[in-house]
Amino acid sequence: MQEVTLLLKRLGRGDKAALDEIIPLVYAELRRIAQGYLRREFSGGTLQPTALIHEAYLRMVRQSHPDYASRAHFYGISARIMRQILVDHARGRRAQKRASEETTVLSESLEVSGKQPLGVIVLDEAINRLSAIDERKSTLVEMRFFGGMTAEEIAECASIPVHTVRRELRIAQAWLRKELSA
Amino acid sequence: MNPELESLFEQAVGLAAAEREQFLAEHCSDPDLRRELELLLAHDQGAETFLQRAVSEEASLALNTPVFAPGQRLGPYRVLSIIGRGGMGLVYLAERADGKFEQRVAIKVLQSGEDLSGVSDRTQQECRILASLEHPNIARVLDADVSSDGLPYFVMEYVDGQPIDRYCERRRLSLRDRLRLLLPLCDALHLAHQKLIVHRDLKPDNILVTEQGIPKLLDFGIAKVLGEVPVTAQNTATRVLTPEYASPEQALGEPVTTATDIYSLGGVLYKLLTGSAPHQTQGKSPMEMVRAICEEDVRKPSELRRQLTGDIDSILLKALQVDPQRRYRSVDQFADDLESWLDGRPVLAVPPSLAYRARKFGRRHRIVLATASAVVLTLVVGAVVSIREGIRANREAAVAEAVNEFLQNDLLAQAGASAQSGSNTKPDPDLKVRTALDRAAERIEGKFKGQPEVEASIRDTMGWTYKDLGLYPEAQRQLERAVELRRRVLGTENAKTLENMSRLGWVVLLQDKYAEAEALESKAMEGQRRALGPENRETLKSMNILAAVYDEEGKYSQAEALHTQLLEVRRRVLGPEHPETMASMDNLANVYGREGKYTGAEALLTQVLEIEKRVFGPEHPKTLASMNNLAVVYYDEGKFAQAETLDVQTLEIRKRVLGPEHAETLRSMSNLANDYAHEGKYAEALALEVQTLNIQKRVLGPERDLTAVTVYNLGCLTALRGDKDRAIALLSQSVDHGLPPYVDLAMEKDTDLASLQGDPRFAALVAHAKQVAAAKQKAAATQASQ
Repeated sequence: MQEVTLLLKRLGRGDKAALDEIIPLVYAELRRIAQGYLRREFSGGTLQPTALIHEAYLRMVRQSHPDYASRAHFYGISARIMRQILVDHARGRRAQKRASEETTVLSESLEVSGKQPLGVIVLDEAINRLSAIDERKSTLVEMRFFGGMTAEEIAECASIPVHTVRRELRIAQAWLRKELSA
Repeated sequence: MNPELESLFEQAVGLAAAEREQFLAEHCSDPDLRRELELLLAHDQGAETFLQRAVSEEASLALNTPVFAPGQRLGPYRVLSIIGRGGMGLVYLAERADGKFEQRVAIKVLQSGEDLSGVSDRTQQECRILASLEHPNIARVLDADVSSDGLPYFVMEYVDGQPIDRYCERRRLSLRDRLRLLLPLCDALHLAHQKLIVHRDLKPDNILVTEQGIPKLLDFGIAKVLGEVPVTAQNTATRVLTPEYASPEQALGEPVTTATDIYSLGGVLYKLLTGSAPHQTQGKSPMEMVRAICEEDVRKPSELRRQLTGDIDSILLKALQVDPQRRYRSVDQFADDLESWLDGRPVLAVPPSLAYRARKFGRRHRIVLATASAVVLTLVVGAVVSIREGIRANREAAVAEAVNEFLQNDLLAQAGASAQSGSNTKPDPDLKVRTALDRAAERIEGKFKGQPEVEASIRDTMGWTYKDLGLYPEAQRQLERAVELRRRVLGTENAKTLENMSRLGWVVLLQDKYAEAEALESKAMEGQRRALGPENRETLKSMNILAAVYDEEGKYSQAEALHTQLLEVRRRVLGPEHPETMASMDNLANVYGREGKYTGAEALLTQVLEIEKRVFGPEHPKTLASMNNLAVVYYDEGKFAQAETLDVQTLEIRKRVLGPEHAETLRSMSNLANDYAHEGKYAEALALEVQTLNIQKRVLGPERDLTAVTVYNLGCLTALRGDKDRAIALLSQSVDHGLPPYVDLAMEKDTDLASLQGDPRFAALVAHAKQVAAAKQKAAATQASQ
């Protein structure tokens, strides 16, 4: 998919319009890969969004030459999309739970797990609050947790020194945890 | 965030608890700030894991949740509930959302991590084949499409029933009744195998028995849409395979054949009769499963259930042979043996040799290791699998050829413009098929070592498809490789090599490389004359292309000679009204026209027109094109009145059929205006040219070559009427606004402009036009060489 590579290059040159074109592509790819994991349900272990994004990256971007700037951009965008996917999903799950009482009962093997943390919605709201007081930190958090990016990768993507990323992430994490346990 | 807070946090967070206390006392006097700082520090520990868990919990849920919720639409269907979950995705019960039909359907949505681009084309293709499978014991495939998320899905007849094993248990059917339940399934499978459709995933869950006791096969051939996924250490258990009933060839990632279904059906019967599957796979690692399927002996059914006497052991073990060739040759044979057993007659199967099984595995085991790397799906891999299947399903070259034909004519060739739309539409090179082709082209490399003929055949098809898409250099690359492979394996004088070479020549000609095209095409034609005879269809095709090359090169006498021969043979062999014969007449007439042999051209085109009017009707585009061509010949001969009559008719029909602004309509207007001009009907001519120009300016824009030609024609007309000043103004306008170089260069000798000769302004304009033409030609040449 050369398309994405080209769009990332445009984005790298400061063409913000490219973003509007990339997002739907990456979104579709991430969903597709995510659904593929259905078939690997026996493989065990917890699935990390990182793995998904990495897989999407391999499929959509890495062609012949690794281009570090493009890679960082791709991961940054994917992080945002992943956050959206998961939040949408959590909301849908909440809605579906209500709806399923009126419609056909799923057979036992299919029943969606009754776990009720819905933590992502709360986390999402907390990140929004963080964004209101410190937008950059919220972006870093997004990349770290929804994109599974390392501090080095975040530094590359956000064009700030690694130690700054580490420092800012640490306080942002503590702040979020404080918000969530309140 | 407050910078002071951040700075204090950073310093304090690295300290041990006791030191922190002291640090805060020393550095933070503001009680509010200190409270906030303490809160943050208290939440630092474990914050990362905490956040990570929140995300990954949701992720795990998200990834294990059905994609379509009840009530959601999927194409024209509304999802009602989920009725099953298979290795390849979920199955939904659905109904028509528009209430058109009462019928409920089952929709199987393939959810795959594989790259599914290209699958949608195949899904459609498969669906058409599968939909043709009509049998009372097969759940019909009704539809196939791709969801808005890009997931392919199949709509199938909904079967309200139980899996066959559970049905037998619940009803406590006798062994003989269980066996009888299998017979109609054999019949269904036989029908499918005759159409070269292999089920690939037979298992109790795919065989439902209705309340009325009718067994039905589900999911026919659907495994194929995802193509051949080789079994690797990673995906054995969870992917396409249902390991208990998978055949050894599937476990090893080898091609699937009709014998695969015989194995799996044998496995199902084994389960029904003995209560357990032939191989135990539960709790085994993927490698252990492969080993069990390929290496372990199947226990004799009689050892598991004493009532099973006589030949039933032999029958089941024959169906469950590791080597596909040692199984029953067809489902029919299998069914015959089952019936014989029911009737107490002797059976075909004989006890298998156990030593053979073990030996077999030793050889195959290495293959497992060799294929233990994932192969990504492509159109081409699918194609090859089908070819091989064709060969194995019947071991007859004719069938293999048929499968190959199918691929060439239906699968890949669909992308081509000729199949895609009418001839007037430009092919769209941005089609997804192009992407599929490009990928396939990349991956074909090294994939068919030892199968050069298959590779050549695929490259040939791909090359031709590229050609249909108008991507000539790519087409040439594939065709060259195909020719090279065939030359090496089959020899230069082989029919296929030559046919391939001729196609290559055509693609080379399309790129205007005349000398190269001439060399290729004459070589192909000479070879075909020797190998196939001078009147073979392929020989004639090459002749036709070679004639076209000569024509393009301006070697008219050679072109004429070939076209004359071709026409003679076609008239004799195909008959005087065959489309190919008529094409030859057209071609020869064109060459005559270029040579100035108008009488010959006129005679031929008059015949063509007469036939076309009769065969296609007076308003068919082909008929109109011939009318136009004949009018051009009349015009060239100076028979302007006859040209006018024809052009008036053509224009009238085109206006009515194509509309007043269609390019063909404009061409007729322009031609008619020329006729008028030469008959001295200047007023009519002028009116028509102006009308044409206005439409062209609006439809094409002012700078287009056709528009410029009309301006030039107006200039000529004005010159013929004697208005020199205006004529020169119009002519120079046309030169500066996109007049094609060939008109620029012909201006000097244009007889319509005779009155301008000797005028210094005209001499200057001619010189200017030559410069413009030279510049344009240079630009075109640079562009072409890049």
